[in-house]
Amino acid sequence: MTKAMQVLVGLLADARHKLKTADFGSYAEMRLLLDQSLDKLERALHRRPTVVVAGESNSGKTSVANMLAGLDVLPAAVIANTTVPVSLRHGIVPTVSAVTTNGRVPLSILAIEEPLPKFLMGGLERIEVELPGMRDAGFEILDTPAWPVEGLASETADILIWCSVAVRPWTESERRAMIDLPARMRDRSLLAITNKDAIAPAERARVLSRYKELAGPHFSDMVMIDAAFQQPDEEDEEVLAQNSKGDHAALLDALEQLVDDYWNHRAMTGRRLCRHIARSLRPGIPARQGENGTTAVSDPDPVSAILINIAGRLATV
Amino acid sequence: MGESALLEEGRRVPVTDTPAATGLEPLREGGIGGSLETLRRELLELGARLDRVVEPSGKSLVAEAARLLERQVCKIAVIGQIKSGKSSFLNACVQIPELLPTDVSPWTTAITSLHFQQRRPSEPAAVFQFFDEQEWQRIAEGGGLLRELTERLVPGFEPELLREQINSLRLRAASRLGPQFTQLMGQTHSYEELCPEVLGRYVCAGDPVTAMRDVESQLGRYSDITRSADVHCAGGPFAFPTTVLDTPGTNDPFLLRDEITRRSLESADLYIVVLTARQPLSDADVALLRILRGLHKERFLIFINRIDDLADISQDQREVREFVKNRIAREFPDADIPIITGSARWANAALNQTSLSQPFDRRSLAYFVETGLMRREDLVRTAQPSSPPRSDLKDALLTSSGVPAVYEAIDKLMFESHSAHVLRQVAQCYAELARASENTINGELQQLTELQSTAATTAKRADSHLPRLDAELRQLGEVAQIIETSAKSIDEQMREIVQEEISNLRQSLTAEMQRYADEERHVLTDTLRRGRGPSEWRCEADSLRRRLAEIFMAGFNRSSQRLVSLQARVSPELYQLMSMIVPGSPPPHEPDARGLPMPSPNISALSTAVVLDLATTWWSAFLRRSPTPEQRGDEVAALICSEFAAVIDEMASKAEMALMSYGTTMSKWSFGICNSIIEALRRRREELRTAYDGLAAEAGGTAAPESVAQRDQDIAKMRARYTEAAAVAEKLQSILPELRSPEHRSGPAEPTE
Repeated sequence: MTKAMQVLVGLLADARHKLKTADFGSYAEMRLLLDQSLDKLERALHRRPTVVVAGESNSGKTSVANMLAGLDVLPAAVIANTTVPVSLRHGIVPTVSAVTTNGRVPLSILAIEEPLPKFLMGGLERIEVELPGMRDAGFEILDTPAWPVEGLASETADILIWCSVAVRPWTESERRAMIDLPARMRDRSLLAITNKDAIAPAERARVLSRYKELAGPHFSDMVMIDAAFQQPDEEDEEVLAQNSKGDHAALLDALEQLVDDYWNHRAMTGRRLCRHIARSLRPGIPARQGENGTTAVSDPDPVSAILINIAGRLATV
Repeated sequence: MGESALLEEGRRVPVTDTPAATGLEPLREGGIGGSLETLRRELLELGARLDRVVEPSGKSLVAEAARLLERQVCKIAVIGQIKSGKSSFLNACVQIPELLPTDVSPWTTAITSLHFQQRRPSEPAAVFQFFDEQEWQRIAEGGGLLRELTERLVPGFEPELLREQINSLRLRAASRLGPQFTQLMGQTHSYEELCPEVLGRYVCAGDPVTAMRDVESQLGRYSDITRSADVHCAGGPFAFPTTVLDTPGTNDPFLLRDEITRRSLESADLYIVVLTARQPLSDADVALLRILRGLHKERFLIFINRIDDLADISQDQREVREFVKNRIAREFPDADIPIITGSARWANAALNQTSLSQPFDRRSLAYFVETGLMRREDLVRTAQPSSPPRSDLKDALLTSSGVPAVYEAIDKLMFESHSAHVLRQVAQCYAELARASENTINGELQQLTELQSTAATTAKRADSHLPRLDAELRQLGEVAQIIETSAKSIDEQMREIVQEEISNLRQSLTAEMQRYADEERHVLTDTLRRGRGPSEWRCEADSLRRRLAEIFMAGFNRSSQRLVSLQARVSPELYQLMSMIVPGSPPPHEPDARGLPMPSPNISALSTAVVLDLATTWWSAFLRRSPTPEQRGDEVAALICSEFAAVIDEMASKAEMALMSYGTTMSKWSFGICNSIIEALRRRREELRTAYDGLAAEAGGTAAPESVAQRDQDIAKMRARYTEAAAVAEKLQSILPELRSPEHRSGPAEPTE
């Protein structure tokens, strides 16, 4: 989390604390209003970013999603097998739910590997997987079927990871898919060049330079990884594991930049919200003595003092 | 006879009989298209023999057919998305491992034609043709077709990308070739010998200017201005003269290259669509296949390359093949398209001795053991760095590479190609010509023998023959006239049929287009009225293309059937006329409609990019220009009509050309044969008449002994000619059934759809 966010979160906690300890008495209505505003602020501040993993068929989306989750949750196979979007998020106990047109159906009875019952497939919009392991991830993941996805709620996407296979560096159909995306979705976008190991180390720089030339303008950043398509040979396993650890770190580093950017953006929104709350507070502050201009306020009542304090801090973040 | 016996021998090794498991060598003996080539050579030789027995007026027909035979080349285009491994597959396929340069980034920039079995002594081994000034202007200044399309859709709209690309193209050409590079325009470079470096200069992308590894690098030096490369290769797996086209990949963000490839799709006989196992049949591949749908569906095969990239080679390979098969079945419901999996890398490794002695990757080896191609205990030796080249590894690599299977498939498909069709037509024409010669010579022989016996009698009796001969001459003249007039009327009938059919075809195509345009107008207007944005609507011109292709094929089949049945009606009539003048002609051979299917023209016009194919962003710009939903709907409908009217025009004229050329060739040949016979008969009879005149002149006395001896010699010569003509006719008759495609040859022929 970025510094700007920490300031905001601190501010929020401070305001909450003050509200809790003060005795509002006759200003209960005022307090309710403020509480609601702060709730709104909190929600806005705390929404974890959704990372949408997209790309053409068999571009390694699921492998990348697994890499981000740090777990081999989703089955990756040679034929594109993700047919509905799957979201991975933090939950205290592992649960799988189906989000259908009729609402959310928990599939607690089913194991993850089991196929889904047919009746769900009709109106199925996405599968939600909640995992305790995602607690520290700082984001939610949405693994998508081959692009373009019909009717995918693009407004939920905060960060885009586009997967492209290194052995086929950047195609016209990929370019078109990118330019057809709403600009908002392209703001924070990472190009994950997968299947790095199929390219000889000496040639990687050249592949990367082609990507930079042709795809560069569409992305905030790009990273070359080996989202493991190949089962490692036994002896190589250690080497490969190390390798992919390096790739993993590189991917997470690149993503962290975007997540920071996301939080910065959030913080901006948060500050705007703060100023808005501050503005809406002022007319209601019960310090009418000063307004009459008769006497200077020597001893403002405690509630007013708190509200002025809060409004002042909110207005100046 | 010795020579034809040898040929006979050669035909005993058909390529298709070689078991696939033995690698590439057995194929090299027979060669791809070996049986077709044997037939072609046989026909050429029979043509030469025929030339000696036919009448002088028939010689030009024989020569024309022979020229056709000489010219036959089977064109195979290798197409696919960028980085499917087309060039490596081609190298493996033609068995020259390092012929075409390959690289990690899309590399092929120009269409390279590899010619096999076609080099004439004086020809250079390689010729590179540069764009000429005009083409260059069109591409560099205008951006080619795409720019045209965009302009038509949104006048004044200039896609930034295209301009950037063109600028970089110009910049690169200038930096590689110097500012004077325009002087090279329109020129050609020829080489007596070819090495990969030379090829690399012309058909490789090379590095972008910004990342050039070596300023002096020759790689890709001329690539920006090279339009085509023609290379003659020695050796190769083909027995039949073949040209293989390597094309730049489709789905290249460098839009101009894509356009070059699409334009090359026009002319090939066979198409090999190369897919990559890791991303089999993506949407871009399907788009390419849809373009091919306009072409003959029995004319292509699918090669799934790079199975060595798969994690679990045998399991994943099955899955990939199943997936592709199902998807193909959905796209082409009633076609049986060969799908072959393999790895060009394996084949190239097998063809390259040095790589065989190097340790091979374990996943591949494990797969060879699993499929029983290698023994596990031999693996250890393979891993040793200094082990000698392994023949079992080589065999395993070749077998698994899929290349032998591709050879077999090409060999089979060649029987459906245009060349095979030409061979069939020529064989049919030769057979008729031989049979007719046989009959005329026979008739003449009888006359001559009669004359010889007459010679011994009196001049008075010879006199009595004169009126009969005169009458016969007159009859010949009449028949010749009948044939001429009926030829004219047949020609007219044929033209009428073609015109009627084409106008019908045009009408039904246009009606379909209109229906589609109305539908789209309705859909768009509806979408907009419900308050949705124009981006919600996307014109999928593909469904229209599909329907147009269906209508076209159905219409064309009906038309060709009508022509063939006209032909079937004409033949007996001709023969009837013939039997009037040559008594004892055998009954006519029914022209076998199944044996002579008319190859339908390709409808690549359908693959022409139309504005409807442009990306959504351009559409939105277009739609913003009209205010109301109704107006927008109207504009789109009008656009569909104007775009596809040109396409339909081209399709109809292609069909017309195909039908007309079929009709004229067939009637020209049939009537040509008749005319040449009539001509010959007339000449002979005039000779006879002179002879009888001579006899009459030898009034009262007996014929001079020398003229009797002369006639004896003539008769003997004619007998020999008769025997030869009969032999040739016999031989041709036996060749005809062999020229049918393999499916038709085995078992009773089924009626075609």
